[in-house]
Amino acid sequence: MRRPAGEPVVGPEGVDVARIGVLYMRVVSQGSGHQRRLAGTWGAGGGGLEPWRHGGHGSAPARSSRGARGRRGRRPPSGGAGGGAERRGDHGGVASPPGPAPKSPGAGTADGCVVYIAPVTATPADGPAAESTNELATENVALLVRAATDGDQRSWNELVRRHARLVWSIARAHGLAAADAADVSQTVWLRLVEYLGTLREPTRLPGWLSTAARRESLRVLHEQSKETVDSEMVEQMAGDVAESPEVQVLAADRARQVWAALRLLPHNCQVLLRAFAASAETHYAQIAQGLNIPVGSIGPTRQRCIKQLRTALASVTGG
Amino acid sequence: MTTWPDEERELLAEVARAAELADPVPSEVLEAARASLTWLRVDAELAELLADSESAPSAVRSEQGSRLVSFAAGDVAIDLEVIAAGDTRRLVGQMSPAGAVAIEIRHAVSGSATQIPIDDLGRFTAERVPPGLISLVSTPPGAAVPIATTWIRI
Repeated sequence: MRRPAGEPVVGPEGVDVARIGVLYMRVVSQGSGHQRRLAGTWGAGGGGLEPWRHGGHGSAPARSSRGARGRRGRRPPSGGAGGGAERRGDHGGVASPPGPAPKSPGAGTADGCVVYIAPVTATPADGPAAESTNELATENVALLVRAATDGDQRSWNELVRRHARLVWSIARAHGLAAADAADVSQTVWLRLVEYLGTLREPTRLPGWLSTAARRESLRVLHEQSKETVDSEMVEQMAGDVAESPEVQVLAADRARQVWAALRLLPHNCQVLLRAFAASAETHYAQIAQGLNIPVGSIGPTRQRCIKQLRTALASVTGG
Repeated sequence: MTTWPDEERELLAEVARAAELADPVPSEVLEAARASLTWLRVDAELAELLADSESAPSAVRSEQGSRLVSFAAGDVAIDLEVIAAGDTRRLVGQMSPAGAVAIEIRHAVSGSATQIPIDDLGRFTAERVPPGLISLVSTPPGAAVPIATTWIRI
């Protein structure tokens, strides 16, 4: 399971390697030939780091001349033994450097494969990438669902990591205040737990979650509209995000403009665009269906919403 | 589905960036989502919501202002009256057929699961239940597996 270079990896004790910049890891043979152990060293940049020797399998333990400041134990997805548990070296997260690697001066025998992960770009500190565990970030969703149905918390956490933004975006784009969107989110995830064992097509999870989020959002809006005679309350709540303090401190003017423009769109466009923005392109079709857009209308609706966003953006920037 | 033009993709990427800055998923929402797995009961049969007066037109609502909810799993039914009592709720329930001696009230927000006795007519009562998502679990007489009601927000 190879990972494209540049993907952030969680280091020891959850340290986000993205902040450190470069992670060099070495897989050394240990015990039986099936097992590998990863040893890591953190580097501050691209220069001044010692290269590792690229070697085959061997029996002598390797030593790091720099001293490992961190060590990442690879664990099987079921969350097995604590630190130092091994996995196959061909599983996930690391890529071998192209061509022969230069010899490491003063290093140990460097048995096993040498791995190198390219420098990563900084990611938001609390972004979803920072929470990913590299074993599961590329795991097949059907396997995650099955493991979660068996009670595996880490597989479930990965399902949450992948889809939480989609559920949240749909709820918020319906105009719900943060507290209500949080309620919608909680209901949707509990609903998924209820149906976890009976999902017929786990690959359609984004569509399933979109439907659940939409239904629950509409139910909450319906309840709230019955509670008050003020029919403008829904529109007032829609304004709450645009006026939130976070918008004032957006780092990029452009991002602020895009956000302001988005808030001018009708809710169905906000829902569609935010749901798409929170998801991979391969999921757009099922998400649109989950949002109750007829299959034949997905393309035209999408185009219309994009066009409206462009118009709104022009009025926000050009005015 | 047709592929997207690049400039549309770029605009959507800007939407994603703006949303991540202005409206990221709160960490407590993520934590609550992760904690949901605690409530997994693969052994239980799901009792679906058959009726909920809260989603019905107002004329159907109980005159006392309480909410009437009905669940069913096969031949087993659980009817629940949710009565507002200040900041909390009073639950008055009926399980039929009768015979189970206890029912568990699961409360997502507080993370609690409380056993409530059921009388020989299948009735049970719970007082001062905080608002939030609840689910009831009980094993009907002669049943191989417990039933768990679908989560509702009281």
